[in-house]
Amino acid sequence: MRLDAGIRVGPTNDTLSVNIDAGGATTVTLTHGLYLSLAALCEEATTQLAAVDPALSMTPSGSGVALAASGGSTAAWAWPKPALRDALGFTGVLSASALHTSATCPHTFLASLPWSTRRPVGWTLTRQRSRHPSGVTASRTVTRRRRFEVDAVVTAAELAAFRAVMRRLAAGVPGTLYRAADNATPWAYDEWSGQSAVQIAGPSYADAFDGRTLQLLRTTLVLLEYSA
Amino acid sequence: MPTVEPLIVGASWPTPYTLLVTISQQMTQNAALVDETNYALGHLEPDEVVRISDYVVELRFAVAVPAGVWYLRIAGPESTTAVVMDTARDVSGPTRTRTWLQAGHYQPAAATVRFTFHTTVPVTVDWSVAAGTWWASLDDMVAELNTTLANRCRVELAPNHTTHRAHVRISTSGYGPAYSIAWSQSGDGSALRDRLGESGNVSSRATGTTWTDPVRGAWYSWLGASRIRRASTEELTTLVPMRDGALTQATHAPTAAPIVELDTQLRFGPPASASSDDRSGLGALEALLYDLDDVAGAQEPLTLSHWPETAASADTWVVAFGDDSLELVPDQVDAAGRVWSLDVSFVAEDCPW
Repeated sequence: MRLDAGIRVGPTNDTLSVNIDAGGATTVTLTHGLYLSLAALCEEATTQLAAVDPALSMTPSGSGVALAASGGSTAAWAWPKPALRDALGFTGVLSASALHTSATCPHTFLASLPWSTRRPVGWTLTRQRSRHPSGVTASRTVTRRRRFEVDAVVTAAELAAFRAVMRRLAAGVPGTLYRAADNATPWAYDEWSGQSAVQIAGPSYADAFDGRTLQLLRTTLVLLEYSA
Repeated sequence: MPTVEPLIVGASWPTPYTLLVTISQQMTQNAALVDETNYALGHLEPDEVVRISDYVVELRFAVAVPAGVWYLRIAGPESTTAVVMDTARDVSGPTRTRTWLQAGHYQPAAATVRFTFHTTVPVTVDWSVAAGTWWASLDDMVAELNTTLANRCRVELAPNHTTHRAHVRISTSGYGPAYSIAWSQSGDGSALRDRLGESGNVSSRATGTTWTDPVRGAWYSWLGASRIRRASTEELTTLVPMRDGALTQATHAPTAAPIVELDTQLRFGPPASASSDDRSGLGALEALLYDLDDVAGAQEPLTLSHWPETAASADTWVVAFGDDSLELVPDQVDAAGRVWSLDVSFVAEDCPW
């Protein structure tokens, strides 16, 4: 199971620069917007990089890191706006090389223990109802959303990374739930291990340690399907 | 050469009962395929055999099949390779729909739907529906349609217990091998068309064909509800104190049927013939909830039908959701995923008892 918090790209974190084969630095600007996963952010970065050189790419891995590649050339990467560097998981200027691998993206959590649930999918609906004197009730749905539930289990060593992602979700930022870390196929009833765009349900989030050993954190995450 | 296939019947099957038989070889469509004397369930012979497809026949029994282990024998039908069929495999069932939900239908516009039966001289029958016509369920709509069509054909809603949805199936009764349907012969019959699972007019469709797309606003479960518990929410009587301290009773005579709360627990899941990780029942439930607003005409109240094990027919309730704000979350009951449970609070406007 993997949970990515969304990343909003704006004026403070929209640019990077790349210098291919010491030919001079080129600034690349990402389209402003909300990217719900590391994969979505990397896809946008690749789109903008490809306009400079088709060999350039920024790709995510299933382990939550980003790979900055330049094909057969060597490229040095710099970060005029460090917030983008941080969001991708890189820690500094990247010297000329064909491939750079970031540290784990801080907006990504990859669970080491299996998560499960007895109530994987449901629905929340609000309906506007009217009752006719004859007894026939007419109603219309005002809102409807899929509801997902997972029982998360987190080790003490993973706590900081997990809560970093949950902090962003609890702040209202939507993200992406991957039921299998390497499956980016959209979730469906016949694609049970696919991924869904989600946001946290309810106004608050709480978790608690399991037992007295303080080794495992257990919490039930209730997530609503998110659509822009 | 006769074939044996064991079927374990738990509780006695009520009448009438149908058994769906899937045969591994493509069968020749001839008189032998639908000759009921070629089939036997123990000592019982079906009263009618209907061809569903090249591989599936439906056996219909008018007598109850008692509990026990029964052997299905088939002898006589031929495969398309001209070999007399000697093995029946994949006998699917028995599965009977025990609980089903259907949204009501409010017809938004007047429509005349024309059915044409392709006999030597084509026969047409028009089904006229006035704007504002209300049916509490698709079953009611289909019953009215069958009355209009009289003996020219039988319109059925055939449930698929794996997908938890139903499909229209029309079988002409001596009125030609095929039929056509024009949904808006006059007026606008698109709401009827969409509700019954079609997207356009039907042209020369063979009798017995199961329509490709399911009907909208309906959900079927072979597992059945595990709880349908009613409570009265209407005051039926009031104690009135008199001046002398005595109490008298004022009984309210409701002019309309009382509204009652119905505490329901639905059960559903893939039958034994389907994979345990088939979650179509969940998807079908979502489709029902969404169809209440996405499909013209489909709306609350719904009809909840439940067929108890020993009853000859189903009980029906006309229900609406009990709350304006709903959170419906099915529980996975068993580890394998074959049984799901959903608690729903309804209010019923029409109860069978």
